[in-house]
Amino acid sequence: MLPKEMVAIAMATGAPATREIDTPPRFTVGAKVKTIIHNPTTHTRLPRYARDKRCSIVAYEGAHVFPDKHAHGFGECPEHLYRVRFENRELWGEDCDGPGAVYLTLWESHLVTEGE
Amino acid sequence: MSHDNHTAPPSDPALRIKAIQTLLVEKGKLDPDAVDEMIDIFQNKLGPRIGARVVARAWMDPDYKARLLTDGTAALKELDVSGLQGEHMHVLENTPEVHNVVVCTLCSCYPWPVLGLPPVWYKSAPYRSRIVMEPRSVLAEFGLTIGDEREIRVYDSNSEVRFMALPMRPEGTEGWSEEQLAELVTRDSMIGTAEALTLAQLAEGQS
Amino acid sequence: MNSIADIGGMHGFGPIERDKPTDPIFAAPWEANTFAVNILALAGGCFNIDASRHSIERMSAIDYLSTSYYEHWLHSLEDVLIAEGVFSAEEYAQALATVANAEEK
Repeated sequence: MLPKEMVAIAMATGAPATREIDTPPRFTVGAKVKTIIHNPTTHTRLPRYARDKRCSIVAYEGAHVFPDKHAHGFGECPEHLYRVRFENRELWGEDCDGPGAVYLTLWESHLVTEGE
Repeated sequence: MSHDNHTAPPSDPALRIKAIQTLLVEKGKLDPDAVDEMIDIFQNKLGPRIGARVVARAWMDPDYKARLLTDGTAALKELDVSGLQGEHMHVLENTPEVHNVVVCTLCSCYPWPVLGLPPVWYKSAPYRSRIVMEPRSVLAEFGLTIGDEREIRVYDSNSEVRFMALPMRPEGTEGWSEEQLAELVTRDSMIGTAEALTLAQLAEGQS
Repeated sequence: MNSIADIGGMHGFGPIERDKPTDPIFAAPWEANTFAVNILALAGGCFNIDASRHSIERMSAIDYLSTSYYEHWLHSLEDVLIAEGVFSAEEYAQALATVANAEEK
């Protein structure tokens, strides 16, 4: 229970989602990867519009609690998190409305190398 | 109280939250005095004036700006800005080549420590559905036209990483103080659905 | 989950409804209380944020689209607090009846 006198400090501290894990990151910045094809009935933070799309790794975010598992009582199951870039045309084809890209932060389970 | 059927909730929301609060207090999970404390922080203390000050500082101090763009969380902490839903902050610089805009298509994730709580439109279906696929059309509804010589980058906040745009510094503000500069920085300019105010807009009393 | 909440790229939702500078942060006291109780229950370890988001995703699509943002949070609180055993459905029904009776007086 968070008592009144701890509320301000708790809000100023927050609840970081980063964790230390033993395995090294699989992907490096600049790598060309692809999001997975899946269709779970369970929680996922990979939006449908971004399934099975090519993207590139633009930054490494550290290892983060993995919501896809954490939501269902499996524990935090932290995985490496990457900021990735999808070109507009990859997502929307010729129907995109101009030059641009969508960025998502995706966990290692959401990504594969092309041809996997 | 089953959620298996699709009827509307049987009770007034005020009664529902009162019942939940009562039970949580009874079970020792909630300090009743903490509720007003929490509301006060988010209603009165946190808000976009915090982010505006950060932007103004970045405009005035190129070294600070560089730190802010490299490690947003650490640079914000220098100004005593930190906390829930801002533990992993990235600040995105708008330039003549790139315009950045932020969304959470899946729910409503938003950088609370710099901007406070999000406006209703940010959390609603029209914005969340459209900004990732037709950002130029959405931004035009906000009165912002982005030409094809600029790339629009839409950041979908699907993890606990949070984003905030650093708008470009308006023309004619050389020598302004941090306080004066902060007045030009609107909430929407830090979400990316607006630019910072021009001097003309400030004079017109826009915000 | 292919839920109604996963709304990026869907068509048909129309124009953005802009807000006004005078709009309050919370439209009614119950919204403020719902917000605060949710964060405090989270901080108190009653549930985790991922479970609470998933709870909202599991609302029926019709309910999700026809109720307000903080009604989603209310749905999630009821759902997850009962699922986690913080209180039972019967206890909640009883508490609702009690506050409703107190209102009527």
